[in-house]
Amino acid sequence: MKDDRDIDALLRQHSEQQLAGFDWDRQRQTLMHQLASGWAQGTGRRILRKVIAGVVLMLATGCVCIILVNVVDRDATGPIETTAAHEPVEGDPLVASTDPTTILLRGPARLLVCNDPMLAPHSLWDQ
Amino acid sequence: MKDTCQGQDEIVRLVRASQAGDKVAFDQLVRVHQPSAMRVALGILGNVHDAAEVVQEAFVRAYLRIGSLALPGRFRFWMLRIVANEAVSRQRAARRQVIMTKLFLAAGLRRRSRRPEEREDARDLQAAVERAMVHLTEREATAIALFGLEDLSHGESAQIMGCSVEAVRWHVYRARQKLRVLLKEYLE
Repeated sequence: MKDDRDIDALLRQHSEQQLAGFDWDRQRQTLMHQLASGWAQGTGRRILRKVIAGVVLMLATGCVCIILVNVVDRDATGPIETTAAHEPVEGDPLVASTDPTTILLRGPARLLVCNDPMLAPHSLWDQ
Repeated sequence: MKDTCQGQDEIVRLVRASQAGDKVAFDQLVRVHQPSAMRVALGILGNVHDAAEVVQEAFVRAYLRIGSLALPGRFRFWMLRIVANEAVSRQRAARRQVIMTKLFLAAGLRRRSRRPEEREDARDLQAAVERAMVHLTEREATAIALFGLEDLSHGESAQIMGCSVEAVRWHVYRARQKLRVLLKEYLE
């Protein structure tokens, strides 16, 4: 029986040593202060903080997406250069085309440029 | 016996007042049960800083749930169950670093075995107990804290832990066995 209790005695000794200088009043006061004023407000503040953080995260994600799309789009498009689609013939309209480029959500395309005002704009897209 | 009954009546009165929202009454309950709560948390966790945090959280939880306590006379056991659960949760989080702790433990034991004079150092005992508690299961740590440290009966410990009396006996036995090996240098 003595052997059963020697460990308990050692644990009690350890417990007493650790709690010897413990500030009981301070712990109680902190707790009661927390309950009296801080807890409910603290909870509200925590929730508000989470909502704000969520909104900020959404905005940041949106901004990053917009920037990425712009960068990708710009890289894909590049500077526009035109070359003559065919040798100019006197009396015929002049036609030139851009290099193939990527139009967002529509895929690759070439823009044909023409000096004939009678040609409809949609006919200038060569997809 | 009469004092005990009067004390129990006073606890019931304080619990009922707390359930009605009386913070002063709850403060009195904290004052009475703070040492028990700290001993149990310390018994499970092994260090006073973690124990203090756990007890603080446990009392906040108790305050928020005190309305659900149907038997005010059982406040002590109800409170100690909250403390034990909080401490076990904290211990579980600490166990996630178990590999690092084991390495640290091995290094610590080797160092101490070379320097036996350090046995008399109180801080050494604290560190040794803290490290030894890591080797107990949650149930073993809770059982030894309630039965061995807080001097509750097997039955009371079983009620708090939500298990049978035989299970408590077994956990206490296993905890003592392990601690006897881990702390043999400190046992005379």
